[in-house]
Amino acid sequence: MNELLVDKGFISRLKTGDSKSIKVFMDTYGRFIYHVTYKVLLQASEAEEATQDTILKVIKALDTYDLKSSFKAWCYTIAWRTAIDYKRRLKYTVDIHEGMEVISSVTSDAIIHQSETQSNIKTLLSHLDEESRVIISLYYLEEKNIRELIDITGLTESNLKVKLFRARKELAKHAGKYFEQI
Amino acid sequence: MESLIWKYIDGECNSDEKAQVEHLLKTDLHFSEQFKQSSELNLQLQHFSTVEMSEGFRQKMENKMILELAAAYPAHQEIITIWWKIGLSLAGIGSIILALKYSEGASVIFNFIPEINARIITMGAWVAVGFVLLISLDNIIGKWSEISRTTGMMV
Repeated sequence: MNELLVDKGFISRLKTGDSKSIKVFMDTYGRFIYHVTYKVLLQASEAEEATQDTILKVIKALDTYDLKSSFKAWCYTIAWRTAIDYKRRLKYTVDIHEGMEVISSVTSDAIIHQSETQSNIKTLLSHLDEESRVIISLYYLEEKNIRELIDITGLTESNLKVKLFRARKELAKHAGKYFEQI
Repeated sequence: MESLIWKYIDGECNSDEKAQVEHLLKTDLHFSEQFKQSSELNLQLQHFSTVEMSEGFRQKMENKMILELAAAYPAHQEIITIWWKIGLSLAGIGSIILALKYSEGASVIFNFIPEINARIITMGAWVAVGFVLLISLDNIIGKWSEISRTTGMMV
């Protein structure tokens, strides 16, 4: 997910409600925010609420954004805090077995297989804590770009690598349960 | 060993480490099995760890953003602030009182007001009228901008 150059012009156009800028914002940052909140909350409906909340916070705070810093990192901080707040407020515990979604009216084996794999990945990821889940998914989302991940999360390279390694080690421990081929 | 496997998968091994992994893959069955599992996990995560929002939600968010941005950053900045409006209203009331004082058959209740040159009064009245027009124009432009923004019409 490539970061768009967010400059004063883009912020100004966004503030005027320019529909093209809003679309660009949603394509780049809206998707990213949804990704972060989903990985924390693991439920689409909750992630949508947290995404909406995050985007509204971003809009209201546009004037406080420092152009020298990464806009994506700024969005990440707001999204992460909002999602964690939601998680605390809802106080639900993720039952890993609830992660299995019902596949209805699917038409082909390929779709069934894809949905099952996606569902398995979701269930597998629920074995991790929120931070590890977000880090590992961002790592793949950012096409394994550690530099980008450092910018976004604000973690040091060594800390990030340790967290990434621990997360993958934990996943490998449980992977056999969900994937026959592993 | 696990960290070496992940370093290899991530393409972060130096030439010595690469050679070590390749050697272990040929000679160590347990390592080879672990490598296969990690590679498969890496592949699965790569393909399925991204999530996409629904098109309906995305559309809803775009519409909500238009409204929220309009509320947070009004297109039209008011030329005349509330304090100016209060001040000008007071000046307007003053002008009316003065007009009543100098009108034909004015009531004695206006006698407490000291005598003021007629030219100054006329000038004050015109200034007040000018400001009233300016306030009205400010409001019209504000409303117009708001309508054009929410409907997408060009101003």
